[in-house]
Amino acid sequence: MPVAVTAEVIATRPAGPFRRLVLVAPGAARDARPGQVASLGVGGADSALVLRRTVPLTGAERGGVHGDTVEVVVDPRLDPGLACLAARPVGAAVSVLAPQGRGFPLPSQACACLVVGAGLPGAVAPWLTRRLSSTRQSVRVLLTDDVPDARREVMALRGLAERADLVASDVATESADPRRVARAVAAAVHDHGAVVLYLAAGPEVTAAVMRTTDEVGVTAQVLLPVPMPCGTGLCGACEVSVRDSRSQAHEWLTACVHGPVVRADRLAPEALLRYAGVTR
Amino acid sequence: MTATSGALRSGRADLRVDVGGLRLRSPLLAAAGCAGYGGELARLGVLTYLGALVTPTLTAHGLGDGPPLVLVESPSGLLYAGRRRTPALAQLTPSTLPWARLEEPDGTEREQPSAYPVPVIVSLGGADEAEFSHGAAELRRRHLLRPGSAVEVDLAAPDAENAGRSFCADPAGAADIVRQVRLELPADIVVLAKVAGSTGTLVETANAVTRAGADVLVVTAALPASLPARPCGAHPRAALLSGPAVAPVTLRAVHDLSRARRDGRLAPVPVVAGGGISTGRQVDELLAAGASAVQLGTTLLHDPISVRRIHTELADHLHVTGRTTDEGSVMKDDR
Repeated sequence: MPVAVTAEVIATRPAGPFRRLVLVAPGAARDARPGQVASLGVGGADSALVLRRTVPLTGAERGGVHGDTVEVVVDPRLDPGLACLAARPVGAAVSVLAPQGRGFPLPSQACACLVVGAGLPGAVAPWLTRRLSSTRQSVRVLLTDDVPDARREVMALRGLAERADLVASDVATESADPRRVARAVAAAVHDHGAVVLYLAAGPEVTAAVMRTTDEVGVTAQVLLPVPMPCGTGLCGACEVSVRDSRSQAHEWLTACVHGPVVRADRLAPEALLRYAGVTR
Repeated sequence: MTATSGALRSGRADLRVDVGGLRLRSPLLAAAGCAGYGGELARLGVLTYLGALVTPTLTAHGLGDGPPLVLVESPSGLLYAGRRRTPALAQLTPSTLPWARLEEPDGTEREQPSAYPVPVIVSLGGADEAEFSHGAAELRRRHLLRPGSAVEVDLAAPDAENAGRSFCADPAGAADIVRQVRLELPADIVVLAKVAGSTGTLVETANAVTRAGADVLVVTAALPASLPARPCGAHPRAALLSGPAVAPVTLRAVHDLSRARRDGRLAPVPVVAGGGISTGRQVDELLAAGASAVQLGTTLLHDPISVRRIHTELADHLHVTGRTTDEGSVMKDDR
């Protein structure tokens, strides 16, 4: 159940080209789980930037020293609104609506899981890994090195997961190579005997991995990397057509409210790329 | 618009209004396409600050597959291209209406068999006159309208038969649509006609649709615009502009209609202002200019709970000025 609150920035620090923000947001940490998103306001009522920014939650803590806190990572290079959020100093107010949407479902029984994170959305992977470890799942982790704080996170996760590896980025683009990630995922599923795959990545990597999931025989839960202009469910611009898991009938799903995590077999990789604005 | 008696106090001022027969607890309406079907605002506990909720624009045949709705910021504005996917009126029943179930703020869901938490105004669209008429007929035949509901006819939508020119650019054509819709709907259903304030024929269109049976005018719709090349490829894509950037256009449209009513060029029909409104002060100014109520759109996308702030600001303004929500009405000016 999301809450809309005026949050306060209590920590801000760089994470490579990204900025990690910790916000005191009363009520927002309750029931928050990896895969859910936060909808952040940019400026006040008279802001010239009229949309919100929707980003994955990368952490949440209930009843800490500062009360309920949520953590997000933003990329200030993407647009002026995110740059504005990244520049918010400690003590600044930010309109927060969180936790929003459906997070990654945790297995009800012990099983082998593979957690894959790439790019900015991959910042959710360490939190998800910690949650899975706490429920005694057998977890293997793959992070591409363009994930915020990738090297540090991989080192930390080696104490929790059975294995945590870094996948090198494409040298030319300095971002995750979709084919390389898909190959690494296929190998890791095979080695680890994973039956569940959790994926948080950009559109190209997500589509590339989705193309291999049938082949490698794994159930994949993916974080839909589609634009969510308001992150509140009001605008309807993040609606995607998905198949019903049982009847296979098509239905419309509002990604920010009913997603952003869905089973990979509910939509085709090509459809995902279209909704993400990568192809037309 | 008429004043209500026995004031139900909201904050420090009575905000109740009667707009063309629609009795609303507040002059703040949620604009079509900017509040979904009310469920999200209900979960956040702010739905009840609204006087009414306008649904996303529904058509007889629905809007299914097609280019995804694209929203892009422009300075102090919001560009949108495409339309939200909506179910076909021809396939809905009273129990499957998207707004038939609204949640309480605590997350429990309740059915609203006879009354919704706020009056629901169905936004009715169409690609041509026949589809508007068909949509209105489905609303009636399928019993999709509850007592106290209303229908907003979206005349600012592009007319497929006239190269995408909006229906309201042609006063006679717009009047024909309203006449057809009026004929199909029960007599006690209030009909609102939404017209673009930027058209040069605003007063003429307002007059025509009022004579054709519209009970209330809604100005203004989003303005014609183009998406910038970057998000949509090399070719500019037709879009509409809304948000704070169009607020002065809204104010001008309300002034023009008020003047026309004063001059006797327009019947004393209530006006609902919409476009770029984000503060209580703006609402107060529009009410003083002759509007009976306002629609909030982009401000809800910027901050869904802004309706609570605007409600408080408006109540404070009215308390300070000693005015009421109906005082700026041109009905009074006409007297």
